[in-house]
Parts: sequence; C-alpha cells; structure tokens
Amino acid sequence: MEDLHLLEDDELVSRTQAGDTQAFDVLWHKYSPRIYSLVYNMTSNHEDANDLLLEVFAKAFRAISGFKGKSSFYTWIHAIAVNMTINFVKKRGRRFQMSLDDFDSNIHNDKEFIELTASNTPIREVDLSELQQRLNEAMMKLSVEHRAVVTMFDIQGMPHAEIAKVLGVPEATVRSRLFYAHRQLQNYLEEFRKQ
Amino acid sequence: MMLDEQQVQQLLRLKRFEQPPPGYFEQTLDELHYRMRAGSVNRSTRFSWLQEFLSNLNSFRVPQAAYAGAFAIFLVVATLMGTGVWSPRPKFDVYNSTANVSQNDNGGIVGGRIQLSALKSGEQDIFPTIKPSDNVTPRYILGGQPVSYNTPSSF
Repeated sequence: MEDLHLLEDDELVSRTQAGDTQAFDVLWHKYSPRIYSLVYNMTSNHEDANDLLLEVFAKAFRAISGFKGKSSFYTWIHAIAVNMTINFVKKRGRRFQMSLDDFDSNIHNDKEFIELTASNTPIREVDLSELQQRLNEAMMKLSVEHRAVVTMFDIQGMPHAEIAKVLGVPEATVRSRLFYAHRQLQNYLEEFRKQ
Repeated sequence: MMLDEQQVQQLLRLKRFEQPPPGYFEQTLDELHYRMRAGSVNRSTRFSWLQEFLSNLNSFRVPQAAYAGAFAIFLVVATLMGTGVWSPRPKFDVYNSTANVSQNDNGGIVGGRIQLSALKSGEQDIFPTIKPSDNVTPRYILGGQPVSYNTPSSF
C-alpha cells in the first residue's frame, strides 16, 4: 500500500483536490504543529489556538479547489493562518486571558536555555515559569502584525523572504517590523528585570 | 546591564518549547474531520456561496493605501466643487433659457420648477389659474361622484 507521507506537497494537494481526504490528513500531520505554534504565539491562549487551528485547516480544505499552486502549500496555509488570527485578535480586542502551559521538559537540554540561565547572564535568577509569563506578556504588548513577524522569524525560524510572501509585504517591511519589535521587547523585558 | 538583541532572540526561541500535550494533534484530527464534513454539508445548501462570500469578506484586509487614496479623491472632488470649477448639475440660465413650456410660453410650473420667463415681460401671472369649463371632464372626484360646476337641479 502506498505511503502518502512520502509524497510531495504538490501531489498531496492534487489528490485532495481530487477528493482524497487522506491526502489532506497527511498535510495536517505535516503542518498542524507549525500552524498551532504560529497561532498560539500570536494569541497566547491555547483554547483560542485550538479553535483557530481547526478553522484554518477547515477553511483550507474548503478553499483548496481554488489553490493554483502559485505559492507553496506551506506559504498558502501560513497566509490563511496569519490573516485569520489577525482578524480574530482585532475582534477580540483586549478581552483575553493568557493560558500558559509548562515548557516542554526538553528545554533543559536546549543550548540557548543553558546559555541564558548560566551564572554570568543577567537573567540567571529568573524562575522559568515566570520567564515564560513575562515573555508572553511582552509579546502581547506588541501589535498583532509585529507579533506575527516575531513568531515566524524568531520562534519558527522562517527566512525574511518567506515571511514577506506570507504577509504580502516587501521584505524591507518585514525587517523594519522585526527591528521595531525587538526594540520594544528589549524595553519590556528590561522593565521586568528592574522590578 | 540591558538585554541585548541577541539575548532577546534567545529568549524568544525558548517559546518553541511551549507545546500542547502529547497526542494533541492526533486527537484534534477527529474534530477537524467533523468540521470538514459540516463544511461540506453547508456548501451543498442554497446560500453556501453567500456564506463563502461573507467569510472571504470577513478575512479581507483593506490595504492602508486604499484609505489614503479614498481621502485624496474626496479632497480633489471637494476642492473642485468648492471652487466652482466643476458641478454635478448643469447650470440653469434663468433669463436665457430656451426650454419649451408646453402650451404656455409665459411660464408655469414645469417638472417641479417654476419657469420665470413670465417675470421678464411683467404681463402674465407666474402661477397658472384653473378656470371652470363645461367642455372638459371635471378634474377632481369627490366621494366617488364627479364634481360639476353647474348648479344641481335635484336634491
């Protein structure tokens, strides 16, 4: 029996367009963790992220017959997710609650975590859960457009050009948004460190 | 010592470790199938195109340049109208108008506007008068009976 997981995205999209829902399941397995991370880091709420993740994929499934392949499926579904999340956050306004989970236990083995919590760094005394909370608070002080750029670049590691395609803006705009967002985050986290 | 940009980026990268519980994506797939089926049912209904249109409208983002463009057009039109360079209505020359007035060259009410050519001569009244006549059909109906200008002969 053919293993759909070995197929390229283009082929999976074609099969979904032909009515093969199992091909779409493979696309779900491939991209749902990234889309979840994107939406979660833009909303800071797991319930909202869960609902938006499902809405994004349901919408993609409904619209996939119109997908012409001018961009990759990866870019296309990221664009759907970013647009839906921006609309959601703007409608929600300031009425939201952050829902925080513990970090994955693998964090203790992460090189950057070890560096940051080393004895000669300024944040060595910060408790891990408090650090997580401050990070999320700082992120939520950014505009949702800036948050999207920070999430895709810093957390997901997407290149500038790819982010520009997802957002439909010039690469220079992505760079300037990142610069501004980093400055803002530096200021917010500095305030926290002084407390 | 202030956090530098690199440290901020390192902190941000730690957010990769904020993950949903194990097995979450497998379990959520069932919910996705339910929504996909619900979407298919909705699509087969009569107004599915309207729902899709509204959904797309909802996710449509107006480019910021569009607001500036609309405001610029408004300013240009307002300036043109304000200075009298352009007007949406043609100008009406009261005294030199050549508009035809049916059966009354001296004026009257035509198309809801008072023709003022009678003012120029000073010979006629501006407003037409309705005179009784036996030759024409009575104009008004009162209580279902035609009005006659003759004295009724019976009671």
